[in-house]
Amino acid sequence: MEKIFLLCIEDQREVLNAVVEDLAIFEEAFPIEECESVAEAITVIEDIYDAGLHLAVVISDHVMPDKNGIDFLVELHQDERFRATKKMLLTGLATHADTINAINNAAIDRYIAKPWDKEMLQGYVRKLLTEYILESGIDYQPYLKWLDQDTLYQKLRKY
Amino acid sequence: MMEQEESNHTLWLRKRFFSDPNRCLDLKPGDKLLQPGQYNERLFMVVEGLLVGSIENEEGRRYEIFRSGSGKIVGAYSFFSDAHRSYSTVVAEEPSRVAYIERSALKMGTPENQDFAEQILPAVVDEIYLRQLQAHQLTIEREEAREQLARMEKLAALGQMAAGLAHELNNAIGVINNNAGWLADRMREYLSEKDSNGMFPFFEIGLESGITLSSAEVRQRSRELEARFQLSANQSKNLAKTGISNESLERFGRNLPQYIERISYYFETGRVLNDMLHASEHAAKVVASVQQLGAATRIKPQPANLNETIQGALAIVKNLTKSLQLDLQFGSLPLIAVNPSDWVQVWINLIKNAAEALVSARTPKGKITIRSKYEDGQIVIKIQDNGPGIPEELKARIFQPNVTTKVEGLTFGLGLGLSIVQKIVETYHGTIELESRPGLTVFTMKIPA
Amino acid sequence: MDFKKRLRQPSSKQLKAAVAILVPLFILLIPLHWIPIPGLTVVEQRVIAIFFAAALLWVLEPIPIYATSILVIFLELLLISDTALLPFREGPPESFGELMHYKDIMATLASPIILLFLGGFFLAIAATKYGLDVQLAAVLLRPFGAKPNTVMLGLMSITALFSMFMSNTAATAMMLSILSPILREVDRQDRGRVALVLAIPFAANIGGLGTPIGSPPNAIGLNYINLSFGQWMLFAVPFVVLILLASWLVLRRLFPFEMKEIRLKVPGKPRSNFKTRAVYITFGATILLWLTDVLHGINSYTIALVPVAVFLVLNIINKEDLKQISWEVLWLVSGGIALGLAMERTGLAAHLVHSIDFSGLTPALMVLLVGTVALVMANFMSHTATANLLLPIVSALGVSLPRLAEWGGSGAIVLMTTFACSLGMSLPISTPPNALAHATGEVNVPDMTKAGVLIGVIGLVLFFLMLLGMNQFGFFAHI
Repeated sequence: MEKIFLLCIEDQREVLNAVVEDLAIFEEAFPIEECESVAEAITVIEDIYDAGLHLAVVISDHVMPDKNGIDFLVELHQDERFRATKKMLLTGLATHADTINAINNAAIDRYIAKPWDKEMLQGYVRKLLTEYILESGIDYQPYLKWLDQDTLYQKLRKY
Repeated sequence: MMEQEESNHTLWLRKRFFSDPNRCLDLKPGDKLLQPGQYNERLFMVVEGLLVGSIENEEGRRYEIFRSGSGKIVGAYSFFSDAHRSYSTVVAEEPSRVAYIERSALKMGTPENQDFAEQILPAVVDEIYLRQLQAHQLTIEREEAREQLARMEKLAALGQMAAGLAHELNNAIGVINNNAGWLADRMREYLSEKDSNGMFPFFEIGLESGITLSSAEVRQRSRELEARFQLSANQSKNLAKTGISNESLERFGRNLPQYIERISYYFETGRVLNDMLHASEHAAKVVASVQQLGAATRIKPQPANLNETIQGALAIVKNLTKSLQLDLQFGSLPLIAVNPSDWVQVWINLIKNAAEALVSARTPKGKITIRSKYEDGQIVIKIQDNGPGIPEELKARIFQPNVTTKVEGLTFGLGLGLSIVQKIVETYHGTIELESRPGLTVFTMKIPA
Repeated sequence: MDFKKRLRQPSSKQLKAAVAILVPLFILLIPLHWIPIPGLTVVEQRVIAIFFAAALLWVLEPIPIYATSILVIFLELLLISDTALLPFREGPPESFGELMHYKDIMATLASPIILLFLGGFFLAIAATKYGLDVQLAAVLLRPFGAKPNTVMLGLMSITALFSMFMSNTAATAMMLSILSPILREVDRQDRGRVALVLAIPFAANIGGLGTPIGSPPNAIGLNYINLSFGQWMLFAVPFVVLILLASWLVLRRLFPFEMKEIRLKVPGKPRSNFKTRAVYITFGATILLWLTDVLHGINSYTIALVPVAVFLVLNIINKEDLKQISWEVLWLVSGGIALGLAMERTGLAAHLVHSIDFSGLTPALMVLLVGTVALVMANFMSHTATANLLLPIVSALGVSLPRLAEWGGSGAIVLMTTFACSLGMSLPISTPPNALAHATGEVNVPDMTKAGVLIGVIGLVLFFLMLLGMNQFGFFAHI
């Protein structure tokens, strides 16, 4: 099994705790990195890249002290190395302009509004993980337990 | 152009018709020259001083319609009209002297009369023009006042809505907070009874302090633990979050890996409750501030500490100031009788202004400093930012109602710009001053206490 | 932060890799006479080392199985070909043996069997690209009504039919995507759910046997027995029908339905445009040509290029679609062919079989025994890898044992092994279709094992009887 990471950025500790807790079902197979700021996230992401590991999904808060989550995700998307990484925005206030910006830059794979629904969050992460694994050509079989069935069927039908 | 210089025809008129010392009146301030309905066959010219004309409505309210200084013609309507009745009250505002001519003195058809008619016409037109101008200005002012009122009403409606919302939320948050507390107590009892392996303290740590380490520190600590106790990445991460010292862990000796799951379970249980209490308290604080802001806009003034209203405002605009450094230097202030929501609104406007300026200019190390102190019978509050400053051309207009700050995001409708701020400050007989240059913008409020 | 360090969890991967390197290295380095096979040559010794490397890598899987295949080809070129490393080209003349021609080894990457498979891939890619699979499923499922048992039979038949031409995994994924929305509406307690979910991977595994291109083990088998497409289908399709019915009965018995009705909703309406029609026609024509080779004389391998040519000419498959070709499956098969080739050409296979005494075994017992070994192995490892490993030995066994001739000789025992390889389906790790079914969360391992073992054994016995019958009718005399 390859090392595939999930990364959450959220400046409020309680909220970060809650997100990570809801994602605990993935932790057995996909280690979760928790970050309280974009700056911290960037160092972690670089470390993951340097170690030659996979960064499958980044879940970012929207309004944060050091940087806007959308700006961060757009930048991450523009970085060739993390193009394949799936990006998800966790937002309490998505304005129209933000949404347009994010869509035009094709940087965000999923929006999820605060307060979020646990099952919905898990479902999204499951889908994104599945897409990442299949698109990156990682052997999906060891991870089947954590993957989204429908996404899997649609992609595997073609092989 | 018509104010100071007396035109040629005025000079001529004055010399020819309004220079007879026998036909002069001296008025003291408050003396009435004309009043509505009064029969008048005289045409007056103000030689010196100032006369004010006004009309009165049915309820007895006075509206000023003209002010006439030296060289101006007064009483033209009653003099020229058929009825010869005045329609306004004309009163001297300063010690004044007026000269006049009698209608009977003008002989129809004489060359002299011809000259008078020629020369008086521009002077009268001038007079009418001035009065009309004043009427226009009055209309504009009234329109502005009406708009302002509408905005205030909107604000008040929003405020009431916010207050209603806050009330409802308060109840819900109260239930959550109380029950989380209750649950924490029950869990404490239950776990302390059930405790067999000395795990209970970990619950207490979680409940009392939650996760105290930052995520970077957790990562650091996690690596320490991994190396020291030979744990897996997940185990050491879970353990790192608890913030438990090596000494406390050493007592488990080689069995530590077996215990981690339980330690983490106890800690996380406490931590979850801590987070719940923490979050509901935060929510309660925000709601209280919104409530303060929206509280029936016209409640009776009550003794309040302005520092508290600043805190309340900061709670509401927290999202805006998140990315900025806040420096609060509160001096002790005496209580003053105010409507707190007024002041919360003042601070929201000023802080929001500063925050938006800093964020939109992407000022590095943006910082807002708020200082309060009490000196010489006045409360002095300064709100300062290190943003790009207010452009010169805007400074003069900054307190006008059309120069409002943008309205968006969470604080929608709460800021109606600095005109409101000024109005409120003035209501409390205070003053507001602006000093601004690139890198330093300070609003200084002085409120008599 | 040192992520590499965090990764240093005790890993069995390294251990497995170490075993798979050290054991073959040991075999390679020991003196020739340590190996108790009379007349063994140095080159054969190297082939044994390569065989052990392949066996350990395929069984333990420290690296992907297709990587092992390529490694086999590479090691053969380095150790036993006429372009081998210089020190490996010479040895004691009396016991050195014969080096292989490097072109023969490389040719395994484009052997006719590989091209046959490529043709199959083209058919499958075109069909899924134009949604033919879903449309066909919708049409074919309709006659099966709404009774759970008949719907299950319908699902199984269609899965098996698709699996004959597309990969077992793709057929399973497609049919599970049709099934899963219905499952959400069915009572959780109903055991029939398990039957429905198991029916699909089982049918896919079984259906894969129906044609030479249905599943990679078939291709490996075809390497050792000369059968045309039509000849293969002549016995394979009846077998598929039989074992499918048997599986249907087993599933009905083990997991009876409580539900009274199932309504399958298959999305997608039939489209009719030039390209869709072209795909249908080419598909039909290719199969027809495969079945009528006696009439036109073109062999199956050449016919396989019909869809390749037509689809590329008509731009039905473009360069992006070409990227979807599962090269790893083709190379997996190539490696198996290369391994078999090396064992046969160097004479190792013959030496090996002669050195073991099989006289105690009757031919029937031998066929059954080989089938059982294959079945057991296939349950725990890749079907193709099992075929890659077993078939070279089994084929040599068949050729070298005269007593087997009355039994259909090499052909019978090769077919037995090939079919047994595809019948391994008792565990989630047995095949990707099983893994997909297990991942639905509907089926637990004991249920899968119970049904899988039962169907595997029934299949083995049924095929054994079928071989008996085929031999009676003189099938093997004609090939």
